Amino acid sequence: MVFSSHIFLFYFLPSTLLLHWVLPRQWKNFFLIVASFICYGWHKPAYVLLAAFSAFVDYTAGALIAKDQERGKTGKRWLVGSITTQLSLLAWFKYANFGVGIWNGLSVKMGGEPMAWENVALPVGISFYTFQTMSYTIDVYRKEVPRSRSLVDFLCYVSMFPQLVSGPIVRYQHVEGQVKERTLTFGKTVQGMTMLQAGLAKKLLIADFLGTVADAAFKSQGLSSSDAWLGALCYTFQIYFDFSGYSDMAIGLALMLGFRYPINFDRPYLSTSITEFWRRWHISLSSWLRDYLYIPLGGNRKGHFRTYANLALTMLLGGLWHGANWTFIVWGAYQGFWLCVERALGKKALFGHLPKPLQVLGTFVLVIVGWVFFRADTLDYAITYLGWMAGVGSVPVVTPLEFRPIHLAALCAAGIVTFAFPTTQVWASRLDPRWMVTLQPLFLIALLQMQLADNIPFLYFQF
Amino acid sequence: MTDDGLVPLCDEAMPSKATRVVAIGVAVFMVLLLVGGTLWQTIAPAPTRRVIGREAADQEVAAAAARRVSDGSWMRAVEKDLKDASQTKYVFSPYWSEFLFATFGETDEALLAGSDDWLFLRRRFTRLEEPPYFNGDEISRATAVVTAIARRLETVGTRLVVVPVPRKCELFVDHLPGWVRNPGVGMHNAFVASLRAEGVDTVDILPGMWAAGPTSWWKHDSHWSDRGAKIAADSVAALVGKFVPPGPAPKPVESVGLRESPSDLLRTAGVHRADGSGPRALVERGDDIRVLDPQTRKPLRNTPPADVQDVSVCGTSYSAFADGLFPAIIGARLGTPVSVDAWPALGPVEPLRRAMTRFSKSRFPKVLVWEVPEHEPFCVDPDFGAIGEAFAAVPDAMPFGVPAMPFIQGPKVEQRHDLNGVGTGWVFFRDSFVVPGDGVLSIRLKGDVVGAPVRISVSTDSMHASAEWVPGSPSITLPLLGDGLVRYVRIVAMPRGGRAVIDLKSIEAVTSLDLADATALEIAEPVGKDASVLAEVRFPDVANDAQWMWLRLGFGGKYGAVRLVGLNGDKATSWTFDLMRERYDREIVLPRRRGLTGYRIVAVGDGQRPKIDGLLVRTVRAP
Repeated sequence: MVFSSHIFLFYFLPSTLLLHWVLPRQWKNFFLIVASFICYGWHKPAYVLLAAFSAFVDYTAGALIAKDQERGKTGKRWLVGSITTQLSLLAWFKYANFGVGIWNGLSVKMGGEPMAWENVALPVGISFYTFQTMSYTIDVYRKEVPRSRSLVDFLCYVSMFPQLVSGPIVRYQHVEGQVKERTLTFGKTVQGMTMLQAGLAKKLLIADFLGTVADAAFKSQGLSSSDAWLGALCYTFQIYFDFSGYSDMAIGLALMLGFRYPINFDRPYLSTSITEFWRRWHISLSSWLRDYLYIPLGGNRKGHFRTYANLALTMLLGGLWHGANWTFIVWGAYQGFWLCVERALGKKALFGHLPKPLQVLGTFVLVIVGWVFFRADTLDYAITYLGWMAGVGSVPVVTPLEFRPIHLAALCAAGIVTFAFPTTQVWASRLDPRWMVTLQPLFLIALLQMQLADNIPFLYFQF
Repeated sequence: MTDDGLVPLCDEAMPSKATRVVAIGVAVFMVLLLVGGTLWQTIAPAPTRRVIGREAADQEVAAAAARRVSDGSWMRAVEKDLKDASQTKYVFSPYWSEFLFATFGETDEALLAGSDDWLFLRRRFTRLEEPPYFNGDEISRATAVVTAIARRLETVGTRLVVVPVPRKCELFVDHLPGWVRNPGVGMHNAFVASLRAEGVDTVDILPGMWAAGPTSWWKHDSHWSDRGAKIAADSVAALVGKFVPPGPAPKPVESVGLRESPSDLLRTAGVHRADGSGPRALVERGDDIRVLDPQTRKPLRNTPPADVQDVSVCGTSYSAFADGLFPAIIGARLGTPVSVDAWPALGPVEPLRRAMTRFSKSRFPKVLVWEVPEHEPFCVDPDFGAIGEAFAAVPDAMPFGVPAMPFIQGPKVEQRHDLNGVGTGWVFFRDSFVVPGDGVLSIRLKGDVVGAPVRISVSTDSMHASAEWVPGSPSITLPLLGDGLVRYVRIVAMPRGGRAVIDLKSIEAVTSLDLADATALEIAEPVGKDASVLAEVRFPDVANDAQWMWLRLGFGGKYGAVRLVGLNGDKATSWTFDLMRERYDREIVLPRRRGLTGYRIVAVGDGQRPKIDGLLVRTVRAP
């Protein structure tokens, strides 16, 4: 179920909140598992089995690791087994089509026959929940968290509908205590409500409007330089408002159920460097990559070369995590490249000698260029698109971009909210009456817009 | 950011009174909105939308039967039904739509808001934005269909008068936003010119509409206004008046006041609900034009006569709306009653089929005015099935002699086909007929369809046609509108939206071509010493340059292969068809194109030489 859909907001959410509220404490987690799997499997019930299997594997692995450790062993074999299983699931469901495509391309080039292959469908959220459960087994192995002794509690942690499909990637250590015992207060509920309202407004009143411009731009056969920049700018704001809107709703929903989730965004477009950008963008993923990939690879402890190699590899895999496409790999490489450059240049970084607004602007432009790789369907198209932005290369037919007054309004609103407003989690936690009063008509309008428009899934559902 | 990376929590104590009050207000507001909204629509669901047209209703039923839990289609349907029944949507959304439209010119994605609040249907021209901007093939195809229908109607003594209705975006291009690259301006003129070049009586209403300006069309409706209907009807009456004697009682046509636009585009935009209710601020008003009683000068009801009259009008919503104003004004101008077969939302071909079916049971009119919105042949997939049925409805006074030609090769076709998500198909080989290109040759499937509708696609070497076979329909006929030799016919059946079962009774090629009064041709001796040339035939009326001519060749029952080379003055290789590569013993049908003077029949390869028994030719239409 999409959070910004009629059935979720008017049926699923009120009934789930109500039942969760009235049920006795010992039934709450079980109820949340059932509700979460209904929400997750609403459009594809079979995928529930996969998510449950993934969770069960890591629950069992955690138990076996702990058992081994009680006997004085490391439990590494169970960790390896668990990670192998999770990565195999990811490899099959997410990367098999990509691998076969590469194989067939090479095979045809060498005069062979392509392999007959029926594409594997990608279960939504698989990248998120596999990373989430993997963090649990690794943390148990590292003895950073105790193993979960209740399958119901563990399933509740993994399957929670606010985060199952698109994060934030919640670590067990974040919610270990909350799964067992949590308090549902009026303040949390209202704070959650405002975050839900803000997220919905971000998604429906900004991201979806800008998305139509970005979609048109990235399927165009020819754009002027200014239109190409406009399309990329619209996508830059669309992905931020879509994903941060989703994250706000997810965190808000969790609060309404008594959970406190990690934040995912911290005004990323105000970053003065790419390094800072990655501390503020999709924080739950970047910190996961840092803690479970970059640091185990050696981080910055093994000399300059290894540091750069680790950075590049981490970002490359981070790119690949988003999708099986060369565009994501190049996007990851692009980010890794700038991280290495900034590390090499030291604290001055790329734009360090400029006034702060120009540092922000410079970083923002680099981010926009990166999103072109992220958004384009193919690498060739991304390069062509960048050519349009740079005003080089031939454009056979320049098609004007459909940029209507509503798009201008949404773009202006996006700019103001991005650069002048505090993040949702900050002002929601203040329960400032002015913010809350301002938000109500926006929420009402967002609901009306939701009724009017088609259900547009969140962008990160595809990952 | 907090130290633990988790979302910061509010101060539960809420020290300020304003904070407490607003927080309670937010909670109450959310509960009222979401829970109240759910209860409201559960107790009193909003009126459901109306399904227009039998086919759409059938498709809805079939789609409903095909819903499954496993693929999520059932859940999506539930979501949609719940959303459609939402009272918050029904009651409040029109006001939000009105605000968006009035403030930003923003509307439904199906529409485009131009200057001065003009609304256009996007699909009428967006397809033309991609190159090639102007698809001449589409005009040729549409012209071929209309011409073929005109020819068929001539055989029963009916003169077809075609009224292409220009698209709103072509009429009012000045009101389109600047970024619209190409609304297809000039398409109307090209279509009219193409029809007239084929000798089809065509009324061009564009100049009159342009002269009248914006009052000829509703801003918020996809149709012409009363004033536009009057302009169109006056133009039609002026032409039709030449073919029928003047009637006894012309009636005055005048404006009797103002009336509201039907505003169908405001409904599409969501400003008005399906029942027409909603905010009224944007509603426009225009002349209320009526046919008046000559004596009392009071408005008359536009009730068409039940019987078929000498002049009949068939068409779409342009003819049906405003209480049938368009045909009523034609009748008023001619002074004679006009029979009407017009329905909205069915396209122009289905009303024609219904009209022809009605005519075949009583009598054919002298003049049939066919109102054809020009976007129909160009911008949407033509309903070839209905076109075929329209042909089939015209009686064949003199049958061709081979009304159904069984295929001579091809797979054995099973009778029952259970299509569950995937389609099926058959390929037939029949290289002994040439598709004449105007629909007189069709592929017909007979049988029963149960469950979901089935999309039938027929393709040959040079053409492709598809149509929906809906449950309950005993057959589907798809005319072959391509041009050239048919070496194979591929038929593909694909269920639409779920499981379908076809109980197939027959697949046949049918024709209504009439060659009963064909005349024999002189078979000339081969020219030159080329032994492979078997014969040359020359058409007798070259000077007349008939536009279409049908050649019927009879060959002796020998195996062999021949090639027909069309002769076009000095250019002897203009048209070449390889025929009968394997075996043959029957007639073929070939088009005679403009400028073609004859055919040279040439033996090909080392096979046995065919023996030509005789050649027949008939001019289908007098020049």
